[in-house]
Amino acid sequence: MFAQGVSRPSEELSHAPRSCPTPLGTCPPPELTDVERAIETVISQFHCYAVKGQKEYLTPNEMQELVVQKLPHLGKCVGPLEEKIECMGDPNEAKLEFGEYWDMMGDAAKGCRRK
Amino acid sequence: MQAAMGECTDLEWAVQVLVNNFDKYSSRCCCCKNPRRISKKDFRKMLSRELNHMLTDTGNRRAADKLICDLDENKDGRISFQEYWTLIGGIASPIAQIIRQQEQSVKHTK
Repeated sequence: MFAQGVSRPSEELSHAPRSCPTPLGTCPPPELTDVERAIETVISQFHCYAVKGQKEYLTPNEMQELVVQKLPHLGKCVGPLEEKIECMGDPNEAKLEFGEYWDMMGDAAKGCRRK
Repeated sequence: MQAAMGECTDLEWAVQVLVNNFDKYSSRCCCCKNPRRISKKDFRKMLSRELNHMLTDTGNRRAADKLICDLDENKDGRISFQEYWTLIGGIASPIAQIIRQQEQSVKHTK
């Protein structure tokens, strides 16, 4: 049901081996926990939209696209987008880095908790 | 564990998982009016149970320890939701950076 919607190049997961062969009698390969998969998803979505900034930052447009497409239920918890974009300053220069994006997801998370 | 909001996107699923995880390890203090918090002990337990693959890298683990140590300055020793989110962000951020650098070096070597 929660298919990983965005195709991700396999090297992104190089820190988290998923399919290493297991010899019989040894422990199975580490399966990521839900929390780890969740963190990975938040990161991969950021990377997926941060095209112009080569995965380093989102432009205001990219941020808006991400919120509209990926947070249809939680987007409103993030607050008015126009205001956020305005706060970012010159739309051609503005950059939303991972830390700020993470804080924004925190606002969405707080919205989840109120439900 | 499932998000109770119909068809959610993978990003919304992820946010919900992180919220549920806080609820799983947090508890209320003596007074039930206080918001839920995680004790430092439970936070360490959470890190080792829920993030043990991500923190296998010693650098990551050291960073996480430092993050928790920084919280020691706070007298109550309990981690609020905001602090929890910031801590997880502190773990996610270097990972995001590493992934980006790995990809760039792959591009350069091609």
